[in-house]
Amino acid sequence: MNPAQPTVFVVDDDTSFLTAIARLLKAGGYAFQGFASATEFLAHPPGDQPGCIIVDLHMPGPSGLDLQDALAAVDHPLPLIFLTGHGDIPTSVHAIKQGAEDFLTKPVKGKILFAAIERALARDARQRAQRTRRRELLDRFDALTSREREVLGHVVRGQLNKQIAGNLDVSERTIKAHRASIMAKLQVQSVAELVRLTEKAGVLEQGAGGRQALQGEAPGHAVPGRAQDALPPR
Amino acid sequence: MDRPHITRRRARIGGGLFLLLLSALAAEGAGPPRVLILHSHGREFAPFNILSSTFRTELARQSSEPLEFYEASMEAARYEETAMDLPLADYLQAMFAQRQPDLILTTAEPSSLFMARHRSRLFPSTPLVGVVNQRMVPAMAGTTNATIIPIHVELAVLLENILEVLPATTNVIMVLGKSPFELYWTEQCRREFAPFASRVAVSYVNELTLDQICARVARLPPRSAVLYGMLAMDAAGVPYEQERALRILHAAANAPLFGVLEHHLGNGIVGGRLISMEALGREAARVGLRLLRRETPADVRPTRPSQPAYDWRELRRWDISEAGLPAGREVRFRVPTFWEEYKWQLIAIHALCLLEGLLIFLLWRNRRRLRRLQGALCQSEERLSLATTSAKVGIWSWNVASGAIEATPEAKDIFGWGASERMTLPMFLARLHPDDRTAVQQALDRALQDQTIHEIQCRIVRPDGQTRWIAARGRAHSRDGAPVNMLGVLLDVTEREQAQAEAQRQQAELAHTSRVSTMGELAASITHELNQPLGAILSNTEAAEMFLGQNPPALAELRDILADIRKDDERASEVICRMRSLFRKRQMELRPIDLNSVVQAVVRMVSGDAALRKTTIAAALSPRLPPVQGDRVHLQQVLLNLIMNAMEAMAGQAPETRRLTVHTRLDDQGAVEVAVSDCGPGIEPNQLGRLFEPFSTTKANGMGMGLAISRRIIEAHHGRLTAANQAGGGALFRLILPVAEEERES
Repeated sequence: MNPAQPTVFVVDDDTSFLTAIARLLKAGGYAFQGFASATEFLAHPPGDQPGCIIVDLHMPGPSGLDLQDALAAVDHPLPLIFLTGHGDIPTSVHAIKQGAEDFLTKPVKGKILFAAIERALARDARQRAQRTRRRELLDRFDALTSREREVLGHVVRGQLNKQIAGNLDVSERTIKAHRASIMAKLQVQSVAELVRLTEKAGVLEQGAGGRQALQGEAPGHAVPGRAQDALPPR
Repeated sequence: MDRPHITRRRARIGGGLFLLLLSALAAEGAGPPRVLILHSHGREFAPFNILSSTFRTELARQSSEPLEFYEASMEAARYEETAMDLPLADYLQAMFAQRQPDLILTTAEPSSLFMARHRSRLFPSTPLVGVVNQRMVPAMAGTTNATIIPIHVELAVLLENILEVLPATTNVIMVLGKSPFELYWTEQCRREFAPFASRVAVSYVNELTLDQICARVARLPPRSAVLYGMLAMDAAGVPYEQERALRILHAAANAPLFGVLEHHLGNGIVGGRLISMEALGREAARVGLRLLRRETPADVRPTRPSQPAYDWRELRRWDISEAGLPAGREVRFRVPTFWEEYKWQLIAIHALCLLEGLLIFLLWRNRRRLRRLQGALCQSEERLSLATTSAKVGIWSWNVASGAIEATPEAKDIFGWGASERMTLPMFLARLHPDDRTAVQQALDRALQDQTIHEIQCRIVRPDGQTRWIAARGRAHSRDGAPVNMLGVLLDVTEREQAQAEAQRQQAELAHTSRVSTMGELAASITHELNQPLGAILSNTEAAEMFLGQNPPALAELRDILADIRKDDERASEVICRMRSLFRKRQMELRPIDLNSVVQAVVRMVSGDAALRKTTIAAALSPRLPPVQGDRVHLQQVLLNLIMNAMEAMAGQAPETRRLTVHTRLDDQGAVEVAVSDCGPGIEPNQLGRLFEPFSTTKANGMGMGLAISRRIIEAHHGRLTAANQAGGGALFRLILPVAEEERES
């Protein structure tokens, strides 16, 4: 499968519907991959490729909501569109709250389905770009030494070099050298820019003083507050 | 005892008279033997009259030849002792001048002594029988050709007689008259009673007239007795013959009378040992007869006082107990009591009365019982009548042979017949609704076959055009194997039928409402099931449109799409079909159906919902299930209800434990069973009892009608719906239906 080409993954127990939707998506020019159940989908999850998932709410075995939960548990990034024969309001609200892109009911008009797919794909692309940027940013922070990170923590709290030198019991000059190194590694020209970037990266633990951690190897999720503001000690 | 000169005087008195008689008789020649009876005191002088008449009668009776009796009297009581001797002797001599008497009887002393005195002159060759007081026997000694029969008079015995019976007696009035004979005996008494003086005071009344005596004996003190010797002549010289005086005294006396002679008994004396003049007379006759035959007279048998004899009436009168009387006594003149006299008659009458009484009692009792029975019958009839009238039950009886039907007014009224109209079977059949006629005829035929109660319900058309439902129950009775009549009851059940129909309608309505509400619960899954094919169709259609816009159009793809569209359309319509029947409002109709197919349809129907609820439904269906008599929709409703309940019961538990099984099988009793079991928490024991009651629910928003209606439906199928908890947990509902009739028969 072409990684650049976004794929629409459809999970539905009704083979007839699966066939029909496959035809429609094909006619609409989308790449399509069908699964008869949530279990099957989870057994062969798509890799890090662009696309979206269309899932039926009611299925024998794990339901659409179960699939949503399972994907959330592993931070799977693909947006989810619910498409169901009958959906009640509580279920749809729950699904949307859990981050579903859309909640559609069968029979669904092609135009509406395509619009929902487009929105989902756009979101996927957006999230994907965000994730790339953030990863770059985090890579820059990763280049900092632990001393530099320590100094950075003091700088973003607005302390003067002299104060930092006092706190760390080093010379002001050393602090100045660190600051220059940090500015260079993080590719910023001003302290204001440095503070904004640090906040954006969210890598500094507020108030804890210098303990930062990255969110492991996998790209961080876009949900605010989920990223841990701690850098791994080096 | 010396000869008393009184007797000699008397003998002289009769002399002249005797000579006169003698001359008159001298003319007669030989003839029958002559018997001369020479009385001392006159022929009728008691008591010797008895002696002489007995002698005469007995002699005449016993004699082989006729006898000629001559009687003469000395009238000694009236004349001086020997004053009449010579005339009497002359008279007698004259009387028997021609022929001497063949036998002479002298009674008492005067005549006997007279004969002794004049024996030499008066027929010395003629045997003489003299009956005399034993005291005078020596005076007769030496009398020629004489046989003496002594009269034993023991005077002491007379007092003893009294004391024996009334030992307390202290005062005795001795009654003897003023005649020489009586005075003689008075003298005898005074002497011989002397030994009793200390015990009894005896007083004599010789110097009193009868009236005076009567006055005296009428006022006697207690413990007195009157001893009657004789009263031939009282102090006034009035003679009393034939014991007349005794009877007068008896009437006057206030104390018991005693007597001397046997013939006193019966004339007012109490009794005792008495002297019998008859016995003396008989003895004299016996002796006389021998003498007449010229036989030597045998020894004279002494005639002693008789065995004690008493007058029963006197004993009664003086209240003398018979128990105290001497042994060997004889009680005469016993007036038999009414009982003794009429014993048998009385027994018979009493028996008759008793019998009659018994009969009357029995009749009375019978009557009472009859009345009671009548009353009870009346009451029972009234009750029956009241019951039949108030319940509008008619009673009828059909005579099979004649076809006549006897019926109560209620029965006739149901048919619109007049109370007096006669009913027959054809009339009855004519009233039947045409559609029911055959069935009724068949039912009647069947009923006549056996003796059991048959019931039939049919319609009749009354004369006013009204159609009524009637129910009749009856039983045939047969004699000798052939049905004779049929008896039964009749009831107008139109209202009942209407009410039943209305109830059925309402039940159907309720069932429908319940069904629709159950379907409402299924709405989500139904929508889902419908939208699935609809969604496929729409997507296919739009895909097809897009394919059509391509150049060249993908025709092969289009063909597939159309086939799929058709397939999905069919699928949708199938879902709709399946549901539609459940939404329809209809009456229950029972026809043979396959329960397995019902189960399958319902399982399919709820499969969507089951998926939604993550519940597994397994159906274990017996492959060989006979059809049951049922209504598909209603049975589906029941099953749907049971399955939905089961799924709801398991909603709160882990999805992998939400398992539901539907079994079908043919049970041991030959009925078809459908069992719905779940793995839920089961039914709470306190709910188990009222599970099928209306408005009994455990659901938050349930109405509690589902199971109540389900049970009503199954009962209308003549089946049973039961609930239980399984041993291993979870509830088990059993639905048991009888196998269809036709199937069972085949």
